[in-house]
Amino acid sequence: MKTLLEITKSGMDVAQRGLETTSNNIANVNTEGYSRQRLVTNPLFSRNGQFFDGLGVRVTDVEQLRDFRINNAIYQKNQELSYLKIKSNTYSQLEASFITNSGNDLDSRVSTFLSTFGDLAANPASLDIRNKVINDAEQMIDTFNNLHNSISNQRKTIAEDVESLVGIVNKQLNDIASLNEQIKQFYVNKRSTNGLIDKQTLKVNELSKLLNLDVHRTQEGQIDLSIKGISVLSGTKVHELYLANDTSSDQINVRLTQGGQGVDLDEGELGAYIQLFNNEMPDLESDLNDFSTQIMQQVNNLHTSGVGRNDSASRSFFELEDTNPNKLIINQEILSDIGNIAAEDPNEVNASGNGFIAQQIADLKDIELLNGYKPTEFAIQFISEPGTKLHALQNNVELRTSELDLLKSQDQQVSGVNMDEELSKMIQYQQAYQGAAKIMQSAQLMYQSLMSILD
Amino acid sequence: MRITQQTIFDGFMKHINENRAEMHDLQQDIASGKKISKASDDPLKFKRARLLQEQIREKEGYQNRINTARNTLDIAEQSLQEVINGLIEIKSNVTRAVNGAHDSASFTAIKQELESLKEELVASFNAKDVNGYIFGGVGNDSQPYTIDSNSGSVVSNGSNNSLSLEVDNNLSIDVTQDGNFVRTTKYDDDLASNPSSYRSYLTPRLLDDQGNTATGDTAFTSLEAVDNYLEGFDNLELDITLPDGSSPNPALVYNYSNNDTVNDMISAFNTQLDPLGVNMTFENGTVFVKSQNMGTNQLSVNGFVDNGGNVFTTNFPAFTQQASGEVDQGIDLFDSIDEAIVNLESQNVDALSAQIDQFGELISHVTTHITEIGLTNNRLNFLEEKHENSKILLNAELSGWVDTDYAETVSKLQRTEIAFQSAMTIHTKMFNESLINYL
Repeated sequence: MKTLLEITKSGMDVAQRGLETTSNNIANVNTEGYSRQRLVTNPLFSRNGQFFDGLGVRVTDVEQLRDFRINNAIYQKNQELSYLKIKSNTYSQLEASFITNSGNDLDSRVSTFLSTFGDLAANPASLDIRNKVINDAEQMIDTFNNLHNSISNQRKTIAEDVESLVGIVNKQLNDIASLNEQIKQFYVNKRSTNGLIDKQTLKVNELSKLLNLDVHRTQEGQIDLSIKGISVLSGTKVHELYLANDTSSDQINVRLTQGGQGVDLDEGELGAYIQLFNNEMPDLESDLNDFSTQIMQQVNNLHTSGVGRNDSASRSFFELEDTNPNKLIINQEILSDIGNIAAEDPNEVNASGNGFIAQQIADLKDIELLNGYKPTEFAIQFISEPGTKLHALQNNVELRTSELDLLKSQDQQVSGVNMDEELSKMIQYQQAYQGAAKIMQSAQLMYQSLMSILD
Repeated sequence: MRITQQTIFDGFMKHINENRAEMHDLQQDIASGKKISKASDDPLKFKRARLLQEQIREKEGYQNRINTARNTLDIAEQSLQEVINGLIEIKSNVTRAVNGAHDSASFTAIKQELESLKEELVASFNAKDVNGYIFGGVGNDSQPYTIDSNSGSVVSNGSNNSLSLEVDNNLSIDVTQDGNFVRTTKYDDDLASNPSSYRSYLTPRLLDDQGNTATGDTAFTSLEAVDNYLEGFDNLELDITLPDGSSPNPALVYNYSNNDTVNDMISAFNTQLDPLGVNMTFENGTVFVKSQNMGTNQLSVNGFVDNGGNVFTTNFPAFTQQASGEVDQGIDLFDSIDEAIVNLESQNVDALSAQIDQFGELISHVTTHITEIGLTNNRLNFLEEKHENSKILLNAELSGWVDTDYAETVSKLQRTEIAFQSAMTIHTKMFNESLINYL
């Protein structure tokens, strides 16, 4: 009889633990990173002669349902996706400053500037047109400068972002290290590490958005992290990173604080930023510089061979600012007297006051200026560059997002909490409890009947 | 497959966000009227659109220049009309002097009238537009025609270079004119700048199919006619005697090859003539062989030598030696008026009577110039229309690339809206379906 009560009690215990687990699952249904838990039970029995007599049930484990392979695949996709997203955002910002709704962008500025020289050729004496030449040249220069500024500001922001991201990476590494420490202790003390593993997974998930990581999980549940073979976290030992700024080559890279070894970051937000800062932004800058230099040289070549209306001096139209060798300015002599704009070719006999030089400058619109492109074509090509990159990136972002969504959904299939399922479990455990209680009641009745005989 | 509430929620959010993004894009397209406004919308279409805009700007530039050219030509035409009116009045005055003037008072009155008409004509020749004097060549700041205070004759100070405007791709037209060509019926640039130059010239003639000179002295009037004729030659030798009596050594030979133009022939001869101080040109149907600063020594052009070694002079196919010696420069408008004034002063009715025809010739000469201006104006109108048509086509193409097709976009928006609303409805329904409702 005593056994009966014990068996019943163990059943009630298990049902109660089951209800606890279910209630915990339901409570955490919306908790990020939470993996559902399940009770693992085993029957109790004793050997009686040649039979095994049942002695009830016991809880052997509260297991967590999780597939680490899916987690690893998610980390990988995180790196790829956040890399693409950072690039998209940067190019989208650049595009907004390269292309305006008004259409008054570099292409139209260059074209208008050259075309005004065509007007000057038709009317070399006109002061209005000479003023317009200056005005159009200034607007073109402004556009060049704005483009320069937007690229260099973008670079500056990137450098600042990288600095703060490296700080965040170090903090995350330390957090994961202390989780590793706790997990080890819990493991040794045979306590459940479920909650800690959830936290740890969430942290690695966050970190994987920032840089390319190789994740290795030990049997005890600790996580080791490395970047292309260079360890950044081993158990509880963190190798912190710092941002190295090489001012001579104007490049940035990330190194280990101890030993100064460089780490090759090519994925995640940091990978994207470093590539943008070191390669893609400088490429854009050099294209822009080449273009403005070409325009300056071609215009100056012709302009110096011509003469203005006041004297026969040879003057360049554009000059470079002393303090900034990439910045065009208009020759001060021309700014102070628009008569010094050279429209006339002095070598043409009997043609004083001609506009041949102005016409030749206007005709620059049809020469192949850079890489086989005419000036306006190059300008269009240049201002479309961020948009073209963005367009390609957007397609990739969409693709990677879908892949990540699929992985997350697979993760949900294994680890996610299904309310209906949990509620069914609740009914199941509730009924098991009620069943056990009923047996307890019967056993009590049996005891009472037995006791009444003794009375 | 286990589908959790989170899976349903994530899926719902993903689709609802996609729908919202699409609705946002469509709304932007409708509000801005542009489906392509930046390169990331569609890089190829964006670049194409910007190139089209550049082409449109180019056409607008040409149109602006055409308008400038037309204004100048209009003023030129108006001035020449004034010149003709002046000449008609002069002619009628001279005619009146010949027929009706009997006393010195009336001769003096007519003379004074002519003097004032002369001043008016000088003013017409000094017509200006925004760029400066129209009949003074390029960019002259001073009046191209002035009356010399000593001699009273009209002096030309202008240059002979025209202001040329680009009105189409690689097509420039001259909008200012050298007034000397208007002033003188047969004006020669080279002679004007080198009065002592001497020239000999040959007039090309038309040939029939058999190579015989066509009846009458029909001169070639166009390069095409000469080109057609030159097809019959293999090589051609030019026979000239230099002013010192010698012949060029080696001989001047031109090997004709198919598709050569007269200009090719001329430049081939000029390469050989240049070291001899001689120059060949083709002007108004005449091949000129000119030598500069020869004084009284004559350069004689004997003709061409054909394949068989025969020298053709008077009966040379295509080219006939027309004259050697000073070239007739025709009648000068202001000189004629001066002459008439002198004749009126001396009351020389015979001489005045002979001048009536001269003025008639001058009137028809200036009329020819007006006609030429009219032709240029027509050509400009045609070009302007051409640019306008191109612009319309380019704008239409541009619009096709970048403008929102409202019908299409609105119907897309409606479709997306329905999808959005359905997603909302089905989601709230699904999310409410739970075991909780049955417990």
